[in-house]
Amino acid sequence: MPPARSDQAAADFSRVALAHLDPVYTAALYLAGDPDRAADLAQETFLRAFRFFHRFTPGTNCRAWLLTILHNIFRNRYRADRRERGWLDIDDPLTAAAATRAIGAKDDPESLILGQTLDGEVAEALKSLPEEFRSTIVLVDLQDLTYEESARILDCPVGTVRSRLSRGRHLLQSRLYQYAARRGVFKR
Amino acid sequence: MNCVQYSEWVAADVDGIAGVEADSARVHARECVSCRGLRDGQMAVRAALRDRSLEVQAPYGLRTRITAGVEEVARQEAGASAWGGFLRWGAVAVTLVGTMVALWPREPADPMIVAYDRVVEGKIPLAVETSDPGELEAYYGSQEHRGIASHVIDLEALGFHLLGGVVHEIGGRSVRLSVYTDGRSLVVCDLRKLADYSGHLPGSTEPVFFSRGGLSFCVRRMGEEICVLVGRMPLSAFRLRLLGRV
Repeated sequence: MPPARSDQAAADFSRVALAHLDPVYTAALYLAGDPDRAADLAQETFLRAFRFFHRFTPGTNCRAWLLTILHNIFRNRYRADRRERGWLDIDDPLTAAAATRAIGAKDDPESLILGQTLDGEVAEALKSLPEEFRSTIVLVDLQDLTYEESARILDCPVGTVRSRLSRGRHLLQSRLYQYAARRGVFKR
Repeated sequence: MNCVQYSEWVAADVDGIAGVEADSARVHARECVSCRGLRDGQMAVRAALRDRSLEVQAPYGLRTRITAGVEEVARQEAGASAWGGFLRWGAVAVTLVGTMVALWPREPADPMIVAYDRVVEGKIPLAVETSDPGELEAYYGSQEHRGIASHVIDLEALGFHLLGGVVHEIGGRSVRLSVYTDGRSLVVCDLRKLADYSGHLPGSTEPVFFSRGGLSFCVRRMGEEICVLVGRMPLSAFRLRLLGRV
């Protein structure tokens, strides 16, 4: 049992850890899928973090530590409830390869996507990815963590992070292409 | 590196990861139009993710909820620690459980057990509903002629808030039952005078935990009184809530 802490410890925790509330909530939202569950997940993360705050080494990456706890809770408690395998549109005719070809044909893919997709579309596309790709992208691209840090959080090899990123971004590209096509940027 | 292999390494290429295989991937992309297209597409996606403001602001109130929760945990730990001073030898006292069970009310349908159960389930109405121990003590004091103790145990430090109490006739005896909640379950406190307690008396202030009739019990001697805490939860959970450890 961790030692009992004073009110000062609670204040220290709030100052050090709660500074990361927004990024932790963001990760929770992309993991859990809806705001209520994300709030519960974030709250549980911080409460567990407080219980084990004596294990946190000052000066190390507190956000990565919190995200590790978040993913552990999600893995143990929430993931089993999810039925999201169906999210992966394997038979989707608008594959990422088709997107790549279409974008490539324009010779300016980056400006095309950046110029034609909206913030909300990128967020929705990200939410639509299968959880293992979504969580990896959130850690690397949104939280700006290294492959190694992400691997520790996800409890998987670095090579798996790299592979999931490759495939996840590929799927995301396909989703963004769908949005762009829907708005007439491409002909399907 | 071939195109299939590159598709697994494209992220490393896009993210500028160093290493022999990542370099090999870059060489392949320079030479392969198809994979170069793949890389450019993923660079666009990466930029879309990183350049947009996709971070979401936590909802109003979440910070307050968490802060309150943290303070509650701190209080619980402090409470558990304080109880630990009284109950430090609780684990040792487990050895008394067998004796306690043998000497505790003998039948599963013991009226005391039934009464506890009914209170825990909220089936016996409280005579006084209050979170103020003083108010409840005044009520118990007014019932002094029934031979009951008036002191109300404060379980706030353990996260149990007082709901109220009632004096109930059980087996021809007046029993005072104070009810607490931690927001999820109810705990009943029966504080009796030693003379009214027929079970095995703990020799010191060491707590005795046991389960009976689907309920979990913690019995502890407090001077000339004996405190019986009863909850409908697994014994390990009950012990954890009161001692801060199993």
